[in-house]
Amino acid sequence: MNRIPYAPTVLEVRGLGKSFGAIAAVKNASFRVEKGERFGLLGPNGAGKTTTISMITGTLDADQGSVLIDGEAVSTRSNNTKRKVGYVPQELALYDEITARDNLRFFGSLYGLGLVQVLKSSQRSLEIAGLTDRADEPVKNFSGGMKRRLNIAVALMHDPELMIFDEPTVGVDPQSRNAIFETLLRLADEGKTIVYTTHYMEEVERLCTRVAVMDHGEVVAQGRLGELQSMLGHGNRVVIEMESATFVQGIPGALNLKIEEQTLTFDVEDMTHDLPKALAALSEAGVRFTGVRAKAASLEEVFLHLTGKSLRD
Amino acid sequence: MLTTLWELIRKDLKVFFADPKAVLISFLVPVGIASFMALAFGNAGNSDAKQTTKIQIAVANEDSGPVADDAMDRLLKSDQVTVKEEDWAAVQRDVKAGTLPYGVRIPKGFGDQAVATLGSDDKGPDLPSTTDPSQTIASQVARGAIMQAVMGSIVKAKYGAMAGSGAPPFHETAVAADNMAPAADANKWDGVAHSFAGMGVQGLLFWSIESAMGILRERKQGIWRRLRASPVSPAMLLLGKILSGAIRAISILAAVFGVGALVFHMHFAGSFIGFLLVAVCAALMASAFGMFVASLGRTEQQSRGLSVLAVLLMMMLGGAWFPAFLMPQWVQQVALAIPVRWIVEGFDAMTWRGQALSQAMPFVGVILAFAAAFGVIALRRMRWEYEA
Repeated sequence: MNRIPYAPTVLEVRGLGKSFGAIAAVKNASFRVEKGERFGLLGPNGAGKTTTISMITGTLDADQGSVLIDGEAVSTRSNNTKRKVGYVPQELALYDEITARDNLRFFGSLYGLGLVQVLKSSQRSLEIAGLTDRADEPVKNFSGGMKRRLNIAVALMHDPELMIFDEPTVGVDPQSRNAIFETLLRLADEGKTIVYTTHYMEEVERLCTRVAVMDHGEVVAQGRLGELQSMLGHGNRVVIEMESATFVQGIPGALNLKIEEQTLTFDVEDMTHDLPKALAALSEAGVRFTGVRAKAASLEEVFLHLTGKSLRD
Repeated sequence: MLTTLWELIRKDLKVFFADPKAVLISFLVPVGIASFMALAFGNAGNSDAKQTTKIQIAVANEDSGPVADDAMDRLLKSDQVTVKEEDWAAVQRDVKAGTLPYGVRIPKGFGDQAVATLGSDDKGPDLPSTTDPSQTIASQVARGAIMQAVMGSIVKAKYGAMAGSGAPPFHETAVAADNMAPAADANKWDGVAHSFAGMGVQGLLFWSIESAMGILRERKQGIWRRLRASPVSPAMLLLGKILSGAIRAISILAAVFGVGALVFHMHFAGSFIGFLLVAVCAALMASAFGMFVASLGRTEQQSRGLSVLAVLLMMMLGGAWFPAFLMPQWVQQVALAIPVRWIVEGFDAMTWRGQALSQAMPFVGVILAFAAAFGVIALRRMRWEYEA
C-alpha cells in the first residue's frame, strides 16, 4: 500500500529509552507511523523490539522519551490510549481450558464492550480468524496455528485503529503463516494501521510498506523499502549473460557497470523504468543475450550493510 | 466497572471448573484429611468419649497379698490402662523391646510393708518400674494410673473399705462461661469440629498456593502482558482474582464442613451466621494470601518453596493441627500474629464453644485485616511490568 498523502500520524515514538539495571534495552528510539500504514519493526532477537512494543502498548513505562497515540501520551495508566490499540503478543496469551468464544468474550469485556457488542465482535473475529466452526471448543484442543489465529482474533474484539503484532509467526507452520499474513493484509485493506515486529526479512518485505531496523536497542535505519535498499548504493542489480564477450558502454540508466568474460553486471535505480531501456540499448548495440537476471536488493543485505552482521547471527 | 469485575470473576470460575478432575481433587484432599483427623482424634479429651485407646502396661505381681490383688483389680477396671501380667524378666524384656511403654514389679511382701509404713516416718518398700524412653507421655500416664491404684489399695487396707473407694468427699460441677450460647451441647470439646476447622483452613491455604502458581503461570504465558495492555487497572485485576479465589475457597470450605456435618455429625452449637461470616472472611484471607504468595518470588519454584514453609509454620503455630491451648504460653502469644489461629479459633467459637454472633466479630475483624494486608502487599509487590 502506498503512503496516503497527508495521512495523520497514529503512532509517534520520540527518543524512547528503557534500561533494566545496567542493560539499556532501548536507546533513543524514534519513529512515526501514519494512518493506514503497514510498519515493520525489524531486528534480531534481543534488539529491543518487544521492549519498544511494551512501551507502546502501555505494559511498560519508559525511562526516557515518549510514545504518543493520536497525539496522546501512553503510559501504563493511560486507559484511553490502550483502547485504541489491539495487541497481539508473541506468546499465546489465551486461556487453554475455556472455549475460543469464552476467551473472546472475556478479553472483549475488558475493553468495556456490552454483551451484544461482545457477541457481534466475537462472531466477526472468529470469521476473520477462520475459527467459526471451532468456537465452542476448548482452546487446548486447537493446533498451534489455530491458537495463533485466535491470538489475533482476541486483539480485534474492540475494533482498534492500531494493531500491533509482536512476532506473530514464531513457531508457526507455513500454511498457518500464510493464513496470518492474509488476515493481516485484510485488516490493512480495512484501513487498520499495523505495526509488525519480526526478525524475518521476508515477512517485512512481503507485508510492510515502511520499516525501522533495530539493533542493540537503537533504530539504525528507517524508511520505505526502496529507500533502505538504496542505502546499499545499488538498488537493483541486473546480471546479463552474453553469447560472447562484448565490450559495451553508455547503457542508459546503468550504474556500476562491470564486464567479466561473458557476464555483464550493472545496477539500476528503478527496475520498471530503467531495465527496458538498458535492454533495448544493448540489443541495438548487437549484444545477444543467453540469460537475464534482475534482483532487488534484499533487506538482509541492508541489515548486513548497516550492522556488519547477518540478521540471523 | 462492575461488569469488568464480574467478567474477571466469571472467567476464573470457568477456568477452575473446566477441569473436573482437578476440582474434585481440590475438594477431596481437605475433606479426606479432615475426615482422617476427625476419626483419629475426634473424641480425644472429650469426657463423653465412648471409646478411647488404653495404654497397655505390664505388671509382675510377686506379692499376691490383698493389697496387691486389690491394686490389680483397680488397674483392670481403669479406663486409662490395660494390664498384662507376667514375670519381672518378661516385663523388662517387653519394655526394653519397646512393645510396652511401662512395666512395674510388686515385690513379695510389698502390701504389708506399705500398709505398715503409711503414716510413719519410715522408708516404705520399693516399687521397681521400667520405662521405654521413647514413649514418655504414655509412660507418665501409666505411672499415674499405677500410683493411683496402689495408693488407693494401701489406704483402703489401712483405714478400711470406705477409704480410697466410692465417691470423693466433694462434688465437681461444670459451670458454663457467661458468653456461652444456651445450647445444651455447648462448651464440650469437640475434636471433630476442631479437626474440620483446622484441616479446612489447611486445605484453603495449600489451595491458595496452587492458585498463586496458576497466576505465575499466566504471567509466564504472557496473559498478564495482554491483561496489562487492556484498560483495566492492576487493582481491579487483583480484586477480580481475590474475589474469584474467595468464591472457590468458600466452595471448598462448604464441602469440608458439609462432610463434617453430614457424616461426622459435627455440631454448630454457636451462631450459624457467625460461622458463615468467619468462613467468608477465611476464604477472602486465603485468596489474598495466594496473591501475596504470587508476588513473593520471581519464579514458580521460588514462590512455592517459600509459601509451603509459611503455610506449614502457620498451621503448626496457629493451632490447626492441635488446639492452641495445648501449646506453651509463648507460642500462644506468637500465634496471635498468625491468621490461621484467628480462623481456627473463630470456627471453634461458632461450633463447639457455642458462642453468639457478637463473639464472631473480633475474629471477623482480625481475619479481614489480615486479608487486606495481604492484598495491599500483593498489589505493591506484584511485578506488573514485563522485562522484555
